[in-house]
Amino acid sequence: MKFAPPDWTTPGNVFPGEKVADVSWTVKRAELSTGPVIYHVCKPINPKGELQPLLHLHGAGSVRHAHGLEALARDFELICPICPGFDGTPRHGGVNVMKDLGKMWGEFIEKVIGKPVDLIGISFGGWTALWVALESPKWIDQLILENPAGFRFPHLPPLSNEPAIRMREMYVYPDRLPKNDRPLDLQDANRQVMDGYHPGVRFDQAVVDRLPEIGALTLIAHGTKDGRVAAESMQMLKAKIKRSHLIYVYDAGHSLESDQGERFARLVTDFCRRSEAFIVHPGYTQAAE
Amino acid sequence: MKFSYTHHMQYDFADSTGGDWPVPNRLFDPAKGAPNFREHVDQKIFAEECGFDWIACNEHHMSPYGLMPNPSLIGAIIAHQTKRVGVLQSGSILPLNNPVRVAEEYAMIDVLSGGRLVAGFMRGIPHEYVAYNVDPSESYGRMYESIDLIKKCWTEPEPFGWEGEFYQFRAVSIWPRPVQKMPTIVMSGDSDLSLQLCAAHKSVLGILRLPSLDFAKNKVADYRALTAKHGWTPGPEHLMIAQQCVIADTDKEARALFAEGIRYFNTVLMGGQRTAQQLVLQKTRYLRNKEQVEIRQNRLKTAQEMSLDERIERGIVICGAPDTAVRQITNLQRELGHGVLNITCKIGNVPNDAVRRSMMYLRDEVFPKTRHLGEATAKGVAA
Repeated sequence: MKFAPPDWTTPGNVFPGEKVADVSWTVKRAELSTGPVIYHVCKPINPKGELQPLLHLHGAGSVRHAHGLEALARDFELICPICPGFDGTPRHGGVNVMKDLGKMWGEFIEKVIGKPVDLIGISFGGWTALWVALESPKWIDQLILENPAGFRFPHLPPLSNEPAIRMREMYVYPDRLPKNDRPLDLQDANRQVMDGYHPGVRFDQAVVDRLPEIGALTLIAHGTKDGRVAAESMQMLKAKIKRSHLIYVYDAGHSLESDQGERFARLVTDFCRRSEAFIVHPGYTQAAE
Repeated sequence: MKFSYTHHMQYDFADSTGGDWPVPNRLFDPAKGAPNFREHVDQKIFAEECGFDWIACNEHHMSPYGLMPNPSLIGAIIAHQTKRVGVLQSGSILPLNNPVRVAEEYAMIDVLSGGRLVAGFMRGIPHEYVAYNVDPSESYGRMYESIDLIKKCWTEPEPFGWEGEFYQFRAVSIWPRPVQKMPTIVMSGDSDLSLQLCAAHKSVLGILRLPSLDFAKNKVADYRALTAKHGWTPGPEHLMIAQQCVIADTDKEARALFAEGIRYFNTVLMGGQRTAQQLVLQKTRYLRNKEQVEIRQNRLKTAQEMSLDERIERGIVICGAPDTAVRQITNLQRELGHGVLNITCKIGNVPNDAVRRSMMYLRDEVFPKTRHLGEATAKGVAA
């Protein structure tokens, strides 16, 4: 038998790690009653029709232009504010703890977007998003929690702050991370700002006690290889938030938006667009419309 | 040592299958095939009475090689009709199937048997991918993802969804869930990547084709090195060796039966498979690299050409009178240190009464003298 041999040099699983074409970032500023907020906006260069806004709250690393966020911006106007104190921005008077952030972001939505919005938060941002849903519920349409921090059960060992371990626990594919120009001392300062909002809190019992109050349809997305946030914490959130879905994103660590950017964007876009019908195969719902 | 009973449920009455695969099913005569099928199931059930510890079912498609395209159907019969044995599904070919469905079927077997499922996760032999039109180049990726998803199905307390490369599910919560918290897992370690997967999942390593003892020894050594990287040490119970077996009143009679069984196996049952296997091996990335393809091809060729005398000489089959079989099993265990022996008594078209006789010899004269094997090497396989 004679066959043409396969091309062994072709990678079997190519990741589109490059930047998403046809989207652009701009930086803007908003004035809140407590102080200014700098925010990044990502949207298509040539949008087709009116874009729905999508608010994204960052994690410990501040705003990063990850592949998954740019992929989301194909379909949404993605608004990514910098939490006060991060990246050298001023802290706001009276905004000291997570609960205060929950109120402050509500005011941000009112002033910048002007209508209820779908809210995504990653890690620290996911924890914050829960406080927004509790303190400013009228401004939240749907909630997306991406590996939310803040719910580490006491029986689990404390997380390591050693950079190499942290890196390994956070990212399956560190080569897919977006470029980070922040100097190391600024990165450390960002982590200190973050810790300052929740001093000594590993497990936020105050949020857990109020989870049944959350009425927003909620997507909890967890990476199957997340070394920072345990699956049992996500299962607890799923059990206590009435209208929630827990989705595991395969082969992703703590940052779904960089480890599996396309997969993450596909999931979130579908959830935002089709709401609770997103559990039904899209072929069916599209045919019915 | 544990003893597992495997029966492929082959078709006994084909004279030839021609040169191609899939084999035309006009060659299947229901008048002969249906009672023969029932006898094969009965033989599996009989294995419990013969003292076997596990009874195995496997998945093959579109040829007389095996009439069990869905092993869960037969596994369910075994689960219901037996009281003691482990029900080894060795098993569903994961890349060809819906993993949630496999999780559900295996869970049903575990519940039906009261927690006796032994969960085999198989990648399948190359030509099976043609049967369901699945890209063989995706076989490893689908395998990795399927296993993680199946484990989630079995252990997740809340409804969940899955956003993967090959599988997307938005709402999963299987009923029933298994009786066992996590069933024993069995995988084949035929290729280097499969071996890595075994080590990562703390699986029983099944060496299901045994061209030589050296091949198996090297495989075991590689497995030990990989498990060490994952921070665990396999015991004898983590190694399962497959053996074809014919036991008769005399060595001479056993050899005659075995030789005819091999002839039927090579010329009829394997018939057209080889062409399809070559196509998949050479035209796709079913295996990771050219070296693996060459190894596989050489092994197929060797297996076809090797005489029975050479197989016996190499110590890779059980063939003879009961005392001979005891000696062969003892020697093999001493060389490899395994704790599970997976025995196939139905080789090719060996007559069914001869198969049952082998099983009874195992029960009455062989198991009592070999069951203790493996205990001496409890510190680790081939230690």
